[in-house]
Amino acid sequence: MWRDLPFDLLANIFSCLAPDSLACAGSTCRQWHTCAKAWPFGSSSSLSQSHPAWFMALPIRSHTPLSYAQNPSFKNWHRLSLDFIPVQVRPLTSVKSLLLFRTTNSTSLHLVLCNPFTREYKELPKLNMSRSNPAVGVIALDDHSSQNPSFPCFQVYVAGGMSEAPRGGARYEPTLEMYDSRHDTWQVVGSLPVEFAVRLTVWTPNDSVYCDGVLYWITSARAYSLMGFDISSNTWRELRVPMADRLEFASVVLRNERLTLVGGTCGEDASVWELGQGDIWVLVEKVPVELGMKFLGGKESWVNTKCVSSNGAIYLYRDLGSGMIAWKEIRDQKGNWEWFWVEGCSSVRGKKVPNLQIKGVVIPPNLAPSCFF
Amino acid sequence: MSSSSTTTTTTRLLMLKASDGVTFEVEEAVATKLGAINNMVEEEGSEDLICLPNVNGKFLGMVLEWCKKHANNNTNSDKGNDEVNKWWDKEFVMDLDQNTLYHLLMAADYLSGTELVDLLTEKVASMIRGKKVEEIRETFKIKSDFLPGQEEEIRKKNSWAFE
Repeated sequence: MWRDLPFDLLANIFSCLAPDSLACAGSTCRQWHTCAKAWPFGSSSSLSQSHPAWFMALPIRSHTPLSYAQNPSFKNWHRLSLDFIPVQVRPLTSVKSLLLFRTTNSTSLHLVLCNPFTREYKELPKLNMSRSNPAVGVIALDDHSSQNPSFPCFQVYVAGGMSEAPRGGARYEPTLEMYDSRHDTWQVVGSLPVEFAVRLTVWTPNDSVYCDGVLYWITSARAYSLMGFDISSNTWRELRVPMADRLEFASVVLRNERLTLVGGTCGEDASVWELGQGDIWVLVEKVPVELGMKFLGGKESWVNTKCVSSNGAIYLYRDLGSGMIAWKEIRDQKGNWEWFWVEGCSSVRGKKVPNLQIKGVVIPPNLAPSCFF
Repeated sequence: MSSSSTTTTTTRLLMLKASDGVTFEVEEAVATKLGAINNMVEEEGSEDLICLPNVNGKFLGMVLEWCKKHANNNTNSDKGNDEVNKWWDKEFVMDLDQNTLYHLLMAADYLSGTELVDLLTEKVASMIRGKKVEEIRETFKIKSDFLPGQEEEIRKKNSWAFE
Protein backbone atom coordinates (compact mmCIF):
# COMPACT_ATOMS: atom_id res chain seq x y z
CA MET A 1 0.00 0.00 0.00
CA TRP A 2 2.22 2.85 1.25
CA ARG A 3 5.15 1.42 -0.66
CA ASP A 4 3.27 2.06 -3.87
CA LEU A 5 2.02 5.54 -3.08
CA PRO A 6 2.09 7.64 -6.27
CA PHE A 7 5.41 9.35 -6.69
CA ASP A 8 4.04 12.91 -6.61
CA LEU A 9 2.18 12.33 -3.35
CA LEU A 10 5.21 10.73 -1.79
CA ALA A 11 7.34 13.66 -2.97
CA ASN A 12 4.87 16.05 -1.32
CA ILE A 13 5.22 14.14 1.94
CA PHE A 14 9.00 14.03 1.70
CA SER A 15 9.17 17.77 1.02
CA CYS A 16 7.83 18.28 4.57
CA LEU A 17 10.75 16.35 6.08
CA ALA A 18 14.09 17.60 7.38
CA PRO A 19 17.21 15.82 6.06
CA ASP A 20 17.56 13.40 9.00
CA SER A 21 13.96 12.19 8.79
CA LEU A 22 14.22 12.06 5.02
CA ALA A 23 17.32 9.87 5.20
CA CYS A 24 15.42 7.41 7.40
CA ALA A 25 12.31 7.45 5.21
CA GLY A 26 14.47 6.92 2.13
CA SER A 27 15.95 3.78 3.65
CA THR A 28 12.70 1.90 4.14
CA CYS A 29 12.15 0.47 0.65
CA ARG A 30 13.25 0.88 -2.95
CA GLN A 31 10.35 3.06 -4.08
CA TRP A 32 10.82 5.46 -1.17
CA HIS A 33 14.56 5.48 -1.73
CA THR A 34 14.14 6.45 -5.39
CA CYS A 35 11.79 9.24 -4.37
CA ALA A 36 14.05 10.55 -1.60
CA LYS A 37 16.88 10.81 -4.10
CA ALA A 38 14.75 13.15 -6.21
CA TRP A 39 15.32 15.96 -3.63
CA PRO A 40 14.46 18.83 -4.01
CA PHE A 41 10.88 17.94 -4.78
CA GLY A 42 9.72 21.00 -6.71
CA SER A 43 6.86 23.13 -5.51
CA SER A 44 3.79 21.07 -6.35
CA SER A 45 2.56 21.44 -2.79
CA SER A 46 2.02 24.63 -0.85
CA LEU A 47 3.64 22.85 2.08
CA SER A 48 7.04 22.60 0.51
CA GLN A 49 8.14 25.89 2.01
CA SER A 50 11.75 26.18 2.86
CA HIS A 51 12.90 24.38 5.96
CA PRO A 52 14.68 26.30 8.71
CA ALA A 53 18.45 26.49 8.39
CA TRP A 54 20.67 24.26 10.56
CA PHE A 55 23.34 25.45 12.98
CA MET A 56 26.56 23.65 12.20
CA ALA A 57 29.48 23.54 14.58
CA LEU A 58 32.84 23.12 12.87
CA PRO A 59 35.67 22.19 15.21
CA ILE A 60 38.56 24.58 14.58
CA ARG A 61 41.19 21.94 15.17
CA SER A 62 40.49 18.28 14.52
CA HIS A 63 42.54 15.49 13.02
CA THR A 64 39.94 14.54 10.45
CA PRO A 65 37.52 17.15 9.17
CA LEU A 66 34.32 16.97 11.16
CA SER A 67 31.09 18.82 11.81
CA TYR A 68 28.19 18.71 14.23
CA ALA A 69 24.75 19.76 13.04
CA GLN A 70 21.56 20.52 14.88
CA ASN A 71 18.09 19.90 13.53
CA PRO A 72 16.38 23.09 14.75
CA SER A 73 12.98 21.43 15.05
CA PHE A 74 13.98 18.43 17.15
CA LYS A 75 17.00 20.08 18.80
CA ASN A 76 18.95 16.84 18.37
CA TRP A 77 22.58 16.92 17.29
CA HIS A 78 24.19 14.86 14.55
CA ARG A 79 27.81 14.15 13.88
CA LEU A 80 28.69 14.53 10.21
CA SER A 81 32.11 13.25 9.34
CA LEU A 82 33.84 15.23 6.60
CA ASP A 83 36.42 12.49 6.07
CA PHE A 84 35.85 12.76 2.31
CA ILE A 85 38.02 15.89 2.36
CA PRO A 86 41.49 14.44 1.77
CA VAL A 87 43.48 17.32 3.29
CA GLN A 88 43.77 18.95 6.71
CA VAL A 89 41.51 21.97 6.85
CA ARG A 90 40.35 24.78 9.10
CA PRO A 91 36.83 26.20 8.86
CA LEU A 92 36.40 29.76 7.62
CA THR A 93 32.75 30.40 6.87
CA SER A 94 29.79 29.23 4.81
CA VAL A 95 28.22 30.37 1.58
CA LYS A 96 24.72 29.17 0.69
CA SER A 97 24.69 25.49 1.65
CA LEU A 98 28.45 25.08 1.38
CA LEU A 99 31.19 25.12 3.99
CA LEU A 100 34.36 27.03 3.20
CA PHE A 101 37.66 25.81 4.61
CA ARG A 102 41.31 26.67 4.18
CA THR A 103 43.94 24.00 4.03
CA THR A 104 46.47 23.88 6.84
CA ASN A 105 49.33 22.15 5.06
CA SER A 106 50.69 25.38 3.63
CA THR A 107 50.90 28.94 4.88
CA SER A 108 49.60 30.43 1.66
CA LEU A 109 45.84 30.49 1.33
CA HIS A 110 44.24 27.56 -0.41
CA LEU A 111 40.46 27.15 -0.20
CA VAL A 112 38.25 24.07 -0.10
CA LEU A 113 34.46 23.99 -0.37
CA CYS A 114 32.20 21.12 0.57
CA ASN A 115 28.59 20.12 1.01
CA PRO A 116 28.51 18.12 4.26
CA PHE A 117 25.24 16.40 3.34
CA THR A 118 26.09 15.16 -0.15
CA ARG A 119 29.74 14.57 0.80
CA GLU A 120 31.00 16.50 -2.21
CA TYR A 121 34.07 18.71 -2.08
CA LYS A 122 36.16 20.86 -4.34
CA GLU A 123 39.51 22.58 -4.01
CA LEU A 124 39.41 26.05 -5.46
CA PRO A 125 42.11 26.96 -7.97
CA LYS A 126 45.24 28.80 -6.85
CA LEU A 127 45.05 32.53 -6.32
CA ASN A 128 46.88 34.82 -8.73
CA MET A 129 48.89 36.30 -5.87
CA SER A 130 50.01 33.65 -3.44
CA ARG A 131 49.44 35.06 0.08
CA SER A 132 49.17 34.04 3.70
CA ASN A 133 46.65 35.19 6.26
CA PRO A 134 44.42 37.41 4.11
CA ALA A 135 40.84 38.35 4.97
CA VAL A 136 38.25 36.14 3.28
CA GLY A 137 34.69 37.20 2.53
CA VAL A 138 31.82 35.66 0.60
CA ILE A 139 28.87 36.94 -1.39
CA ALA A 140 25.92 34.68 -2.21
CA LEU A 141 24.49 35.56 -5.61
CA ASP A 142 21.01 35.01 -6.92
CA ASP A 143 20.80 31.50 -8.37
CA HIS A 144 18.65 32.74 -11.24
CA SER A 145 21.81 34.01 -12.85
CA SER A 146 22.69 30.40 -13.57
CA GLN A 147 20.96 28.08 -16.03
CA ASN A 148 21.27 25.12 -13.72
CA PRO A 149 19.16 25.28 -10.54
CA SER A 150 21.51 22.99 -8.61
CA PHE A 151 24.52 25.18 -9.36
CA PRO A 152 25.41 27.57 -6.53
CA CYS A 153 26.30 31.09 -7.66
CA PHE A 154 28.61 32.91 -5.30
CA GLN A 155 31.82 34.88 -5.04
CA VAL A 156 34.71 34.65 -2.64
CA TYR A 157 36.81 37.76 -1.98
CA VAL A 158 40.31 37.64 -0.61
CA ALA A 159 41.93 40.87 0.58
CA GLY A 160 45.37 41.71 1.91
CA GLY A 161 47.60 39.09 3.48
CA MET A 162 51.36 38.66 3.33
CA SER A 163 52.99 37.95 0.00
CA GLU A 164 56.49 37.72 -1.34
CA ALA A 165 57.89 41.08 -2.34
CA PRO A 166 59.30 41.31 -5.89
CA ARG A 167 62.84 41.78 -4.51
CA GLY A 168 62.59 39.19 -1.79
CA GLY A 169 61.21 39.49 1.71
CA ALA A 170 57.59 39.81 2.64
CA ARG A 171 55.10 42.59 2.12
CA TYR A 172 51.46 43.37 2.77
CA GLU A 173 49.68 42.33 -0.41
CA PRO A 174 47.88 45.40 -1.75
CA THR A 175 45.43 43.54 -4.03
CA LEU A 176 41.98 42.07 -3.78
CA GLU A 177 41.05 38.91 -5.64
CA MET A 178 37.66 37.48 -6.43
CA TYR A 179 36.65 33.90 -7.17
CA ASP A 180 33.43 33.50 -9.14
CA SER A 181 31.82 30.05 -8.98
CA ARG A 182 30.38 30.46 -12.48
CA HIS A 183 33.82 30.88 -14.02
CA ASP A 184 35.84 28.87 -11.53
CA THR A 185 38.74 31.31 -11.67
CA TRP A 186 40.37 33.98 -9.53
CA GLN A 187 40.63 37.50 -10.81
CA VAL A 188 42.38 40.51 -9.33
CA VAL A 189 39.51 42.97 -8.99
CA GLY A 190 40.92 45.81 -6.96
CA SER A 191 43.55 47.21 -4.72
CA LEU A 192 43.62 48.36 -1.15
CA PRO A 193 45.48 51.10 0.65
CA VAL A 194 48.36 49.81 2.73
CA GLU A 195 46.74 50.67 6.05
CA PHE A 196 43.76 48.47 5.12
CA ALA A 197 46.06 45.69 3.91
CA VAL A 198 47.90 45.78 7.21
CA ARG A 199 44.79 45.70 9.33
CA LEU A 200 43.05 43.01 7.27
CA THR A 201 46.16 40.89 7.64
CA VAL A 202 47.18 41.52 11.22
CA TRP A 203 43.68 41.39 12.68
CA THR A 204 42.81 38.31 10.58
CA PRO A 205 39.11 38.81 10.53
CA ASN A 206 37.18 35.82 9.24
CA ASP A 207 33.66 37.11 9.60
CA SER A 208 32.36 39.06 6.67
CA VAL A 209 28.95 40.44 5.84
CA TYR A 210 27.74 41.64 2.46
CA CYS A 211 25.20 44.44 2.69
CA ASP A 212 24.04 47.02 0.13
CA GLY A 213 26.90 46.45 -2.27
CA VAL A 214 29.58 46.63 0.42
CA LEU A 215 31.54 43.71 1.82
CA TYR A 216 32.38 44.35 5.50
CA TRP A 217 34.98 42.79 7.74
CA ILE A 218 35.26 43.46 11.46
CA THR A 219 38.63 43.52 13.20
CA SER A 220 39.23 40.65 15.56
CA ALA A 221 40.06 42.59 18.73
CA ARG A 222 39.63 45.91 20.51
CA ALA A 223 39.27 48.63 19.58
CA TYR A 224 36.89 47.16 17.05
CA SER A 225 36.27 48.75 13.69
CA LEU A 226 34.70 47.75 10.41
CA MET A 227 36.38 47.83 7.04
CA GLY A 228 34.09 47.92 4.04
CA PHE A 229 34.84 47.36 0.38
CA ASP A 230 32.35 48.91 -2.03
CA ILE A 231 32.27 46.44 -4.91
CA SER A 232 30.99 48.69 -7.68
CA SER A 233 33.11 51.76 -6.93
CA ASN A 234 36.18 49.77 -5.88
CA THR A 235 36.66 51.94 -2.79
CA TRP A 236 37.36 51.21 0.85
CA ARG A 237 35.86 52.78 3.90
CA GLU A 238 36.10 52.44 7.62
CA LEU A 239 33.16 52.36 10.00
CA ARG A 240 33.32 53.04 13.71
CA VAL A 241 31.85 50.53 16.12
CA PRO A 242 29.81 51.64 19.14
CA MET A 243 31.74 51.27 22.44
CA ALA A 244 34.59 49.92 20.33
CA ASP A 245 37.14 50.06 23.14
CA ARG A 246 34.88 48.50 25.77
CA LEU A 247 33.28 45.57 23.97
CA GLU A 248 34.62 42.17 24.99
CA PHE A 249 33.35 40.65 21.81
CA ALA A 250 31.92 42.18 18.66
CA SER A 251 30.46 40.40 15.66
CA VAL A 252 29.00 41.74 12.48
CA VAL A 253 25.97 39.92 11.09
CA LEU A 254 23.09 40.49 8.71
CA ARG A 255 19.54 40.85 10.00
CA ASN A 256 16.56 41.81 7.82
CA GLU A 257 19.04 42.82 5.11
CA ARG A 258 20.67 45.32 7.45
CA LEU A 259 24.18 45.54 8.77
CA THR A 260 23.93 44.48 12.41
CA LEU A 261 26.45 44.47 15.21
CA VAL A 262 26.34 42.24 18.27
CA GLY A 263 28.60 42.96 21.20
CA GLY A 264 28.87 42.75 24.97
CA THR A 265 30.67 44.59 27.74
CA CYS A 266 31.99 43.12 30.97
CA GLY A 267 29.35 42.83 33.68
CA GLU A 268 26.63 44.14 31.44
CA ASP A 269 24.16 42.90 28.84
CA ALA A 270 25.06 42.08 25.28
CA SER A 271 23.45 44.42 22.77
CA VAL A 272 22.40 44.46 19.14
CA TRP A 273 22.84 47.55 16.99
CA GLU A 274 21.69 48.26 13.49
CA LEU A 275 23.42 50.63 11.09
CA GLY A 276 21.00 53.45 10.38
CA GLN A 277 20.98 56.59 8.26
CA GLY A 278 24.21 58.54 8.18
CA ASP A 279 26.26 55.59 9.47
CA ILE A 280 24.77 55.95 12.96
CA TRP A 281 24.48 52.76 15.00
CA VAL A 282 21.03 52.38 16.54
CA LEU A 283 20.51 50.12 19.54
CA VAL A 284 17.70 47.74 18.58
CA GLU A 285 17.75 45.06 21.26
CA LYS A 286 19.46 43.74 24.35
CA VAL A 287 20.03 40.08 25.11
CA PRO A 288 17.55 39.19 27.91
CA VAL A 289 19.31 39.27 31.28
CA GLU A 290 18.37 35.72 32.31
CA LEU A 291 19.62 34.25 29.02
CA GLY A 292 22.81 36.27 29.28
CA MET A 293 23.44 34.98 32.81
CA LYS A 294 22.78 31.39 31.77
CA PHE A 295 25.16 31.82 28.84
CA LEU A 296 27.94 33.27 30.96
CA GLY A 297 27.44 30.64 33.65
CA GLY A 298 28.08 32.87 36.64
CA LYS A 299 30.96 34.76 35.09
CA GLU A 300 30.78 38.35 34.03
CA SER A 301 32.91 38.25 30.95
CA TRP A 302 31.72 37.88 27.36
CA VAL A 303 35.22 37.01 26.17
CA ASN A 304 35.24 34.18 23.59
CA THR A 305 31.64 34.80 22.59
CA LYS A 306 31.04 34.44 18.87
CA CYS A 307 28.08 35.20 16.73
CA VAL A 308 26.67 34.00 13.42
CA SER A 309 23.52 34.80 11.50
CA SER A 310 21.40 33.38 8.74
CA ASN A 311 18.17 34.45 7.18
CA GLY A 312 15.92 34.96 10.21
CA ALA A 313 18.22 33.87 13.04
CA ILE A 314 21.19 35.13 15.05
CA TYR A 315 23.14 32.73 17.26
CA LEU A 316 25.52 33.63 20.09
CA TYR A 317 27.78 30.69 20.87
CA ARG A 318 31.07 29.90 22.58
CA ASP A 319 32.18 26.32 22.08
CA LEU A 320 30.62 22.99 21.10
CA GLY A 321 29.35 21.96 24.53
CA SER A 322 28.07 25.28 25.84
CA GLY A 323 24.50 26.40 25.38
CA MET A 324 23.71 29.08 22.83
CA ILE A 325 21.44 32.08 22.71
CA ALA A 326 19.35 32.40 19.57
CA TRP A 327 17.32 35.36 18.38
CA LYS A 328 14.89 34.13 15.74
CA GLU A 329 12.17 35.44 13.53
CA ILE A 330 8.87 33.79 14.35
CA ARG A 331 7.62 32.13 11.21
CA ASP A 332 3.93 32.93 11.08
CA GLN A 333 4.21 36.44 12.50
CA LYS A 334 6.38 38.30 10.07
CA GLY A 335 8.73 40.77 11.63
CA ASN A 336 8.52 39.35 15.14
CA TRP A 337 11.75 38.10 16.70
CA GLU A 338 12.05 36.05 19.89
CA TRP A 339 14.93 34.92 22.11
CA PHE A 340 15.59 31.24 22.73
CA TRP A 341 18.00 29.10 24.68
CA VAL A 342 19.60 26.35 22.58
CA GLU A 343 21.45 23.47 24.25
CA GLY A 344 24.97 22.87 23.03
CA CYS A 345 26.26 19.55 21.80
CA SER A 346 27.60 17.50 24.69
CA SER A 347 26.53 14.12 23.33
CA VAL A 348 25.34 12.56 20.09
CA ARG A 349 22.89 9.69 20.62
CA GLY A 350 24.03 9.08 24.14
CA LYS A 351 27.70 9.15 23.23
CA LYS A 352 29.65 11.84 25.01
CA VAL A 353 31.32 14.42 22.77
CA PRO A 354 34.47 16.24 23.86
CA ASN A 355 34.12 19.98 24.16
CA LEU A 356 35.83 21.68 21.24
CA GLN A 357 36.53 25.17 19.98
CA ILE A 358 34.23 25.72 17.05
CA LYS A 359 33.35 27.98 14.19
CA GLY A 360 29.57 28.20 13.90
CA VAL A 361 27.73 28.56 10.61
CA VAL A 362 24.04 28.41 9.76
CA ILE A 363 23.16 26.79 6.46
CA PRO A 364 20.07 25.46 4.73
CA PRO A 365 20.79 21.75 4.24
CA ASN A 366 21.10 20.87 0.57
CA LEU A 367 20.77 17.22 -0.37
CA ALA A 368 21.07 17.61 -4.12
CA PRO A 369 24.37 16.69 -5.74
CA SER A 370 25.70 19.62 -7.75
CA CYS A 371 27.70 19.82 -10.93
CA PHE A 372 29.77 22.52 -9.20
CA PHE A 373 31.88 19.77 -7.66
CA MET B 1 -21.86 27.42 -14.21
CA SER B 2 -25.67 27.25 -14.14
CA SER B 3 -27.53 30.37 -13.19
CA SER B 4 -29.45 28.81 -10.31
CA SER B 5 -26.32 28.37 -8.26
CA THR B 6 -25.35 31.99 -8.24
CA THR B 7 -28.57 33.96 -8.30
CA THR B 8 -30.94 32.35 -5.83
CA THR B 9 -30.64 31.82 -2.11
CA THR B 10 -31.47 28.11 -2.40
CA THR B 11 -28.15 26.64 -3.46
CA ARG B 12 -28.05 23.98 -6.09
CA LEU B 13 -27.66 20.41 -4.88
CA LEU B 14 -25.43 17.86 -6.56
CA MET B 15 -25.63 14.08 -6.32
CA LEU B 16 -22.28 12.38 -5.99
CA LYS B 17 -22.19 8.65 -6.55
CA ALA B 18 -19.29 6.66 -5.12
CA SER B 19 -17.81 3.47 -6.59
CA ASP B 20 -19.91 1.28 -4.30
CA GLY B 21 -23.14 3.00 -5.31
CA VAL B 22 -23.46 5.13 -2.19
CA THR B 23 -24.76 8.57 -3.08
CA PHE B 24 -24.33 11.90 -1.35
CA GLU B 25 -26.45 14.97 -1.81
CA VAL B 26 -24.31 18.06 -1.28
CA GLU B 27 -24.53 21.74 -1.92
CA GLU B 28 -22.65 22.81 -4.99
CA ALA B 29 -20.61 25.32 -2.98
CA VAL B 30 -19.35 22.47 -0.81
CA ALA B 31 -18.58 19.98 -3.57
CA THR B 32 -16.77 22.51 -5.74
CA LYS B 33 -14.13 22.88 -3.06
CA LEU B 34 -12.85 19.80 -4.83
CA GLY B 35 -11.08 20.77 -8.03
CA ALA B 36 -12.19 17.66 -9.91
CA ILE B 37 -15.87 18.29 -9.18
CA ASN B 38 -15.55 21.97 -9.89
CA ASN B 39 -14.22 21.08 -13.35
CA MET B 40 -17.03 18.62 -14.01
CA VAL B 41 -19.66 21.16 -12.98
CA GLU B 42 -18.14 23.78 -15.22
CA GLU B 43 -17.82 21.44 -18.18
CA GLU B 44 -21.04 19.52 -17.93
CA GLY B 45 -23.16 22.35 -16.64
CA SER B 46 -26.59 21.04 -15.85
CA GLU B 47 -25.64 17.47 -15.00
CA ASP B 48 -26.68 16.95 -11.39
CA LEU B 49 -25.48 13.39 -10.88
CA ILE B 50 -21.73 12.92 -10.80
CA CYS B 51 -20.26 9.43 -10.74
CA LEU B 52 -16.93 8.93 -9.02
CA PRO B 53 -15.79 5.39 -9.85
CA ASN B 54 -12.44 5.70 -8.06
CA VAL B 55 -13.64 6.56 -4.56
CA ASN B 56 -15.74 4.42 -2.30
CA GLY B 57 -18.53 5.75 -0.12
CA LYS B 58 -16.68 5.70 3.17
CA PHE B 59 -13.84 7.94 2.03
CA LEU B 60 -15.98 10.14 -0.20
CA GLY B 61 -18.11 10.76 2.88
CA MET B 62 -15.07 11.80 4.88
CA VAL B 63 -13.78 14.07 2.14
CA LEU B 64 -17.18 15.76 1.89
CA GLU B 65 -17.36 16.15 5.65
CA TRP B 66 -14.10 18.07 5.49
CA CYS B 67 -15.36 20.20 2.56
CA LYS B 68 -18.57 21.00 4.40
CA LYS B 69 -16.76 22.20 7.49
CA HIS B 70 -14.44 24.40 5.49
CA ALA B 71 -17.22 25.78 3.29
CA ASN B 72 -19.28 26.67 6.38
CA ASN B 73 -16.40 28.22 8.24
CA ASN B 74 -15.46 30.30 5.25
CA THR B 75 -18.89 31.90 4.82
CA ASN B 76 -18.69 34.00 7.96
CA SER B 77 -15.62 35.99 7.22
CA ASP B 78 -14.36 36.95 10.64
CA LYS B 79 -10.74 36.63 11.55
CA GLY B 80 -11.10 33.76 13.98
CA ASN B 81 -11.99 31.47 11.10
CA ASP B 82 -8.46 30.47 10.35
CA GLU B 83 -8.09 29.41 13.94
CA VAL B 84 -11.36 27.46 13.83
CA ASN B 85 -10.32 25.72 10.62
CA LYS B 86 -6.91 24.88 12.03
CA TRP B 87 -8.42 23.48 15.20
CA TRP B 88 -10.95 21.48 13.25
CA ASP B 89 -8.30 20.14 10.85
CA LYS B 90 -6.27 18.99 13.81
CA GLU B 91 -9.25 17.07 15.17
CA PHE B 92 -9.98 15.66 11.73
CA VAL B 93 -6.56 14.03 11.28
CA MET B 94 -5.85 13.28 14.93
CA ASP B 95 -7.03 9.69 15.17
CA LEU B 96 -6.71 8.53 11.57
CA ASP B 97 -5.08 5.12 11.33
CA GLN B 98 -2.59 4.61 8.56
CA ASN B 99 -5.05 2.56 6.48
CA THR B 100 -7.77 5.23 6.52
CA LEU B 101 -5.16 7.91 6.02
CA TYR B 102 -3.89 6.20 2.89
CA HIS B 103 -7.30 5.84 1.24
CA LEU B 104 -8.33 9.33 2.28
CA LEU B 105 -5.16 10.78 0.78
CA MET B 106 -5.74 8.88 -2.46
CA ALA B 107 -9.38 10.05 -2.55
CA ALA B 108 -8.46 13.68 -1.84
CA ASP B 109 -5.79 13.55 -4.52
CA TYR B 110 -8.17 11.98 -7.06
CA LEU B 111 -10.75 14.67 -6.31
CA SER B 112 -8.10 17.44 -6.45
CA GLY B 113 -8.86 18.64 -2.94
CA THR B 114 -5.56 20.48 -2.73
CA GLU B 115 -5.96 21.84 0.79
CA LEU B 116 -7.04 18.48 2.12
CA VAL B 117 -4.13 16.76 0.35
CA ASP B 118 -1.76 19.22 2.04
CA LEU B 119 -3.33 18.54 5.42
CA LEU B 120 -3.03 14.76 5.01
CA THR B 121 0.48 15.05 3.56
CA GLU B 122 1.63 16.90 6.66
CA LYS B 123 -0.07 14.27 8.82
CA VAL B 124 1.86 11.50 7.07
CA ALA B 125 5.09 13.49 7.41
CA SER B 126 4.45 13.90 11.13
CA MET B 127 4.17 10.12 11.42
CA ILE B 128 7.64 9.77 9.86
CA ARG B 129 9.47 12.54 11.75
CA GLY B 130 11.85 11.46 14.47
CA LYS B 131 11.32 7.74 13.80
CA LYS B 132 13.97 5.17 13.06
CA VAL B 133 13.83 3.19 9.81
CA GLU B 134 12.36 0.12 11.50
CA GLU B 135 9.73 2.23 13.23
CA ILE B 136 8.72 3.83 9.93
CA ARG B 137 8.39 0.40 8.32
CA GLU B 138 6.25 -0.75 11.21
CA THR B 139 4.03 2.34 11.15
CA PHE B 140 3.33 2.08 7.44
CA LYS B 141 3.47 -1.73 7.13
CA ILE B 142 6.31 -1.50 4.63
CA LYS B 143 8.47 -4.55 3.97
CA SER B 144 12.01 -3.87 2.84
CA ASP B 145 12.53 -4.90 -0.77
CA PHE B 146 16.17 -3.91 -1.06
CA LEU B 147 18.59 -6.28 -2.67
CA PRO B 148 21.17 -7.87 -0.38
CA GLY B 149 23.79 -5.30 0.57
CA GLN B 150 21.86 -2.41 -0.92
CA GLU B 151 20.40 -1.27 2.38
CA GLU B 152 23.77 -1.30 4.12
CA GLU B 153 25.18 0.79 1.32
CA ILE B 154 22.39 3.36 1.59
CA ARG B 155 22.75 3.52 5.35
CA LYS B 156 26.46 3.96 5.11
CA LYS B 157 26.01 6.93 2.82
CA ASN B 158 23.79 8.71 5.34
CA SER B 159 25.23 7.13 8.45
CA TRP B 160 25.04 10.41 10.33
CA ALA B 161 21.24 10.27 10.32
CA PHE B 162 20.96 6.75 11.77
CA GLU B 163 21.27 5.18 15.15
